[in-house]
Amino acid sequence: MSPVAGTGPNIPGGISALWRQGPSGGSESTLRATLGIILALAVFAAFLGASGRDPVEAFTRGWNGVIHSSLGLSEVGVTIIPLLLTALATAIPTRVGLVNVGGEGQLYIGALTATGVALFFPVGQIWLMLPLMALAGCAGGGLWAAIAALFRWWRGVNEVISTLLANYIAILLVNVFVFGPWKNPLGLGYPYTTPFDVAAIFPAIAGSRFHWGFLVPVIALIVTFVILNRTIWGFKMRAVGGNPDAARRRGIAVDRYMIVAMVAGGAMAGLAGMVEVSGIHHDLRPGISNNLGYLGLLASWLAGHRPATIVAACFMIAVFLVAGDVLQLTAGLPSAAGFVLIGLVLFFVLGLRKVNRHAL
Amino acid sequence: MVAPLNPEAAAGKQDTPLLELRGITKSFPGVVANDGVDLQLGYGEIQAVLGENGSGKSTLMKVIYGFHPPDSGTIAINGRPVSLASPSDGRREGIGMVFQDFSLIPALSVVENVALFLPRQGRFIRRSSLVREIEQFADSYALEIDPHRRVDDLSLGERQRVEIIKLLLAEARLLIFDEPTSVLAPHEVDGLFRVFDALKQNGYSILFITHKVREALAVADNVTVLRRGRVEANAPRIEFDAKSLVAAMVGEVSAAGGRNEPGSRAVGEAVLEFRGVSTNRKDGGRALEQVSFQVHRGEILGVAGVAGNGQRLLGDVLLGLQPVAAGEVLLYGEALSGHGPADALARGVSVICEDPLADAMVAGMRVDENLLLSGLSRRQDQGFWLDRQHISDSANGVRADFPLQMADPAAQVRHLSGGNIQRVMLAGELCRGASVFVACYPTRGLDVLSAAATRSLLLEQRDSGAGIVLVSEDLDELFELSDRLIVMFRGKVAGEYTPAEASVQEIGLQMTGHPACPSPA
Repeated sequence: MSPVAGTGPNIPGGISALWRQGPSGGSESTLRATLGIILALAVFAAFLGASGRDPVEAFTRGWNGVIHSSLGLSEVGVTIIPLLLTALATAIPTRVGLVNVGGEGQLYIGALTATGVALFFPVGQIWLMLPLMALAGCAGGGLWAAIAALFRWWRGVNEVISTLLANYIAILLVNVFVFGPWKNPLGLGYPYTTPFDVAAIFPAIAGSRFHWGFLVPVIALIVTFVILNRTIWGFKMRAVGGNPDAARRRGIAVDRYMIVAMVAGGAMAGLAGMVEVSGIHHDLRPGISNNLGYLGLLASWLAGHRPATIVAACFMIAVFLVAGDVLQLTAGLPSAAGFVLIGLVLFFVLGLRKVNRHAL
Repeated sequence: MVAPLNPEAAAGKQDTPLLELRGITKSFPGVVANDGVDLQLGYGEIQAVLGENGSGKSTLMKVIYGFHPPDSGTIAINGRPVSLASPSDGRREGIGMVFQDFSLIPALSVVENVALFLPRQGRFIRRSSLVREIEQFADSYALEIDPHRRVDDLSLGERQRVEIIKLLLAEARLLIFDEPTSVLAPHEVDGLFRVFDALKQNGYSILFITHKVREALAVADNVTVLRRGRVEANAPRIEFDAKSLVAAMVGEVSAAGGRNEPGSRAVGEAVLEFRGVSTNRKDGGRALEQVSFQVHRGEILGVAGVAGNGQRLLGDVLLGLQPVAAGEVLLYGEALSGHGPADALARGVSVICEDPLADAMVAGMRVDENLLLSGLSRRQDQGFWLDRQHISDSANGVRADFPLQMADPAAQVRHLSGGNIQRVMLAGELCRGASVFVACYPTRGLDVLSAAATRSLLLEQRDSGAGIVLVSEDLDELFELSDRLIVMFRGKVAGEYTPAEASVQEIGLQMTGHPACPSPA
């Protein structure tokens, strides 16, 4: 109706300012995240109550099953390893203003290429085998992401759509190999590849499923953090994401940065695929990722795409996932309970944030 | 319905002003925007509210419109105290406002935009009767407009007319204009002032904000000058002249600008030359057509033209962002590499953009980071690591040396005002030792003192051997600074002059596409 109807007077101070102003990052977003998680747990408790279960008992069981059990803790660790990597797969491209929804597919392709190296170039020594597989995983995931980046560069195809669609192709492509040429001839017809040589496997830690592959996301996080926050590259990426036109006028090779950031993101997801086949499955099979790519995307958004915060977000998601499994076993809840809880958290945390496009 | 005012009724109330403000005070954290402002506006009166950026004139208008309820003070309409807590209160009292950035929906037609604004519509748009009403108003007040055209096909001047028609149809009696001429070409300004006169004849009252002394003197009945939130002067126009108005606006400090003596200096070799440069538009036409000019060392070439006639492409062509379809660009006598901005910037080119937030600055970054960005291309040895201490130190260095007041280097650009953003951009461009400048509207959005300081800086750069292309619509500025002038119209160079031999009228005519007539002088 009017030029200004609805835009109330902008009164600084007051409660609303808590959300809008204040330093980005820091205590304000921590407060918001905590509040969001509490609200999500409250709504989840109401769901449980409405379906005739005692929320307190369910929470206690979930908590004990995850935190007070070595099995639960190792499962959290096992889940968090690929999650950190797929979260970085989203976080890095957002620095240049791109949205990578293709973590899932890039993970599958990374698993495929890493498996290819494990099966057909068995070097024998673990110190050489694992880095080679990691490189192959990076290359696979990176190339898969490069397709979307190049389509955007050539034809302006929106990368959200292209990366999302590429996920389905990637999953089917893995099926082509494991049902076809790579199927283990001694595998009784199951669509698995031949099990990896021991040199191609991350050793387990203390007899649990948790494995030395945890070093991969640790290194990836540190390297990403340093590059994004401490180098001229990271600075230029931020400029490209903040205002590509200005960055171009400042002599920054905007297109190159966009493509490289997308490829780097894909490489992270590809690395996640490599870690999964090498650390958990020890072969390639369909369904190696239980939505790890998408959960990484959620973690990155929850964390505001900051590498340091991503650790906390991934930990929370991993805890909720494992708690969902625990509740399935002990309280008869469907295993989707964990996903419901994660969805609620995302809803509340992002809902409390005033989305600022320039701050992406 | 054309004249919702009854002139006789209006005449009968001559003694009571239409609008009376008493002691209006409005403060925001850290700044008192209006401090005890009194203002009166009669029926059928045009009043100019004159002041520099930050003098509080926009705030005052928003108080009157009901957008900012005042902290203290009273507002009376027809002598009756009113409380304006929201814009809808303001509209109910017959107050309408035309904002600087219009509030039209580009994808809709004029009549649809008007219909959206009017509160008395039912569920359906009475299109045909609305069209008739729009046409009636358009005829009566010289607001030519085709009600069926889409708004995105309209020029800014036409959009402004749509805004005025909207307010008239909504039965506003007091029209407030926020810097109405800032978007207009010189000939459109005259048209707007004729509209003002026609409205005044029919009993409408007009308050318009401006920082251009000439406009206040041209059209206003009364002038109110604001400075630092207070009324500095208020009197009928005839009691003022340009000098006294400027003095009231800026206070004791004189607005000293660098004086230019064109032609008195030796000019060096050509640093930049456009030879028959043409560029293509997306629709197949030519955006620039056969543009040729030379800029020499130690020379300012003024480019006059109404916005949208190709001037802003000059910078893009030079940076290599705009492909050249025909002709060539020579930088220091060599053809441009075509390697894009990094190369041109490294060779000493500086482009001062028209719209810093869109084209030059990253709003989500700090001031010092933006300064680093503008200098990145020159620092060949920039290294690998980001040295935050060094960035902040060098920004503080620039801030200490730069003659214009600059924002805190740690501030986020998005929190700065337009004038502050412009000053940061100027600092980045003028302090990095470039030798070829394309400066588009360098003083836009600056207060009088900053604008004068910026002009001095450009002259300084020129005197130290830089070649400068100065794109502006402000003819005073162009005449003051330029050694030579070209006029651009529809992508072509329409004429070339020296300021001494050209007249403002002649250039003004050429800018709007009228053939040049021999100057009488």
